[in-house]
Formats: sequence, structure tokens, C-alpha cells
Amino acid sequence: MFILAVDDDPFILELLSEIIDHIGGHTLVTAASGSKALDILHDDDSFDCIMLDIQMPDMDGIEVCRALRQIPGYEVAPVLMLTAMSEKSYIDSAFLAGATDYLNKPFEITELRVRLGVLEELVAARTRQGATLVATPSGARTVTSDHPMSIYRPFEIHDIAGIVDAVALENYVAKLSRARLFGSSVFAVSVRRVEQLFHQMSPFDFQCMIVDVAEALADTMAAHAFIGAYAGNGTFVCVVEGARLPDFERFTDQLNLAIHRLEMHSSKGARLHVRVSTGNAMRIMWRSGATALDALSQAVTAAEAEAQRAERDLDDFWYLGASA
Amino acid sequence: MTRTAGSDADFDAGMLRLKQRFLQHHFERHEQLEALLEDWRRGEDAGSGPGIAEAVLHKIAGAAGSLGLQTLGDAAFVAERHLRDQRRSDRIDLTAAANVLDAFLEVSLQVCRDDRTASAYPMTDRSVGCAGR
Repeated sequence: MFILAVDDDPFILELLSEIIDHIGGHTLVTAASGSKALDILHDDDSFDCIMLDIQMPDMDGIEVCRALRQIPGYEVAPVLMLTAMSEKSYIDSAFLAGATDYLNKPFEITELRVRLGVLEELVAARTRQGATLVATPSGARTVTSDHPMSIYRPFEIHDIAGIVDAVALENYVAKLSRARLFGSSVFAVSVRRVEQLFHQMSPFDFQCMIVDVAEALADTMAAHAFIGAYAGNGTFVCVVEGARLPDFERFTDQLNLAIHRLEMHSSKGARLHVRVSTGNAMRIMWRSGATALDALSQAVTAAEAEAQRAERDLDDFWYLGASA
Repeated sequence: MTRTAGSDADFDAGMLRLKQRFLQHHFERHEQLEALLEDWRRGEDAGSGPGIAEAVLHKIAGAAGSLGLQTLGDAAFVAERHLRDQRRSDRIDLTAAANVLDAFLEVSLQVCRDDRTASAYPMTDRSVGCAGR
């Protein structure tokens, strides 16, 4: 990969040069400040990955991350935060600003190699799929692909507060778990009858519908500190701050009301009747990095089961009504 | 041009060189922190001192562990966090800050004394820095 590393400590930049050289397969360019990095990125759109320190004078790494996401060509490029800042507030802010991964200094060389390998695979997958960022009618953007769309494949949604891509959310949860920051809970929201909706509209219409649900979700969650991502199959996973969770029944009603108010239509003008269900929440407890992700998949399973149960109950209601 | 992986021997030599340079620079940082500690012990107005100390400790905490100096890095991390918490609360307790910095400098001094690699290199200011306490 062609990597830009940004740090105000020249020693760290030298250390990174030495390590990247040893790992091989990458080319490293360095910048000693956020403003220099942004100048470089404005002039050259060919960097595959950016590594950012947080604590820098003048412009911190979180501001740099937010700013570089506005530069054409860098809306989706992987950003690895490489920082000594370990408090949760920094981790939250970094991911909300568009970071893809977060690694604390001092770092193990092996760990850096593994993280770069994952990001390299992400870049390669996006290239293979011909990923393109396009605007939806709501103004938010989403990533489309040359490949046929699968209902199960997550896609990226941009420009909605609190919504990050699925890879970033997985890295966020793994980071919280590794750092033993256990103040958060995870739950999921699933679109009911999603297969039916998927088959009755074009892939882009489906993406636009999911983006609209993301907007309703962000609006409904506005009062809570949250980070969410679209996980595919009509399901969003959300990580919320704190042990006290929202009242899920009320929350689901509010979310469905927000979706209803959007008056969603397909591009052919057909009204879309979209409703969602919410699964049980679970605390992020001590788990190894890999099994921390189990919490995400358990949340997805719970929400999808709840969506199916709600539809089954509705069918039973109409069936019983018809029989009476 | 994308670089191919370097040899282990080259990498080890490069990391050793970096560690030596880090320690050379560390002696200056140690001396800077010693001077701040003396100011605080004399009860002089803290001014920008805690911010400067925090920034110096932040750099030590960020790099030392990656160079095999974990004890130094951990001690810097603890001291940095204490100073940052104090600055955030807008109430600098200089006595507490001095005690924390003093604890870090003890560890730093030990690292400077112990490091045989560093002593094998000519460092004109070394005796001023770490041996000055």
C-alpha cells in the first residue's frame, strides 16, 4: 500500500519507516503535522491508507481525520489511528470522525503488520468490487459496487451522524474489549420482511431505503451517545454508551414513527411500507478480540429473530381475524 | 516504488540504532523534566510547566515501549495521565504533580543507568542528564 503517516514526533515517523521497511510491500510517506498531511492529500489522491497520531499541536488527529474525509478520493480510504491516547472519549471521537481502526502506542510490530494486512485486504476488496461512492436522494452517500448485490452484504453509508462502516464498527468493539472499556452495550435493529422489500425493488432503491432507515435511526438515537453500522440483511448494529439502556419498546415505536414520517417511495413511485424490530441488548463484557465480535453477531441474530416473530404474530393476527 | 521486506539483520540493526538515538534524546528530556521538578519543588508558579511535562511524557510513553523500554514507557504513561487529569480539572496540585514526576524520574534514572547499549555510545551530555540527580 501507499501509506501516509502523520505524527509530530519525528522519532515515531522514523520508527514507522523502519518497521514498514521491514514488513515490506508498502511505501511510506511521512508528514509532521495535520496541515501538512492535508496539503499532501489535496495534491495526491493515490494514498491507499493514512496513519494518524491524535495528540498533535495545532490540529489533532481527529480533526485531520474529519477533514480528510472531505477530500475527494479519501472518503473511504482506511485511516488507522496510531496514538498513545487510550481513553474511551478519544476512541469514540476517532471512529465517529471516520477512523477505520485504532492502535495504541507503544505498538507491537506484529500487531501493526496484522492491522496493515487487514486494511490492505479491505483496499483490495473495494478495488475488486469496483466500489463507488454515490449520493442518495436524501443527500447522504452510499457505496455501490459493480458486482451483483447480495442482500446479506453490508454496504457503507456516509454523511449520517453516528453511522460508520461495518469494518470500523467491528474494530471499535474489538478495541473497547481489548482496552477493557466495558461501559457500553450493543443491540441491533432489523427491517421486517426485508427479503420481500429486497426483491421488489432495484438494488439502488434498496440501498436508498436502508440509508433512509439509517437517518431515522440516527435521529431517534440523537439523545444517546451511539455508534452504529449497517451489517447487511436489513440489520443495523448499534453500540450505546452506558449500562442504562433505552426503553426498547418505546425506542422501536419512535424509530418506526420516524421511518413512517419519511414517507419512503421507490424510484418508480411505489410507497414503501418499512417497519423495524429491535433485539435485546447485551453488555460488552471481557472477551478476547475475536469473541468480542460475537456480541455483534448475537445482537444481529436477536434483532432478526424479533423481526421474524413480529411478522409471524401479525400474520397470526390476520389469520385469526379472517377465521373469526 | 513499493519496498520489499528487509532482512531481520537489517531490521535489528535499524531498531538498535533507533533505540540508541531515543536514549540520547531521552537524556535531554530527563534533564528538562528535572528542571521542571525543581521549579515545582521551589513552589514557583506552574505556568506552562505541567503542559510541557505532559507533552514530553506523552512522547516518551508513545515510543519507549516499541523499543523494548516498557518500564520507562509505562512510567511515562502513568505520569502523563496524572498531569492530564490535573490540567483537565483546572486545579494543578503542584505537590502531587511533583511527586508523580519524581517517581517517573526515578524510573528514568534507572533506565539510563542500566542501559548498556547506550553507554557504549559517546554521548557528551549523558552525565549531565541522567546522572545529575
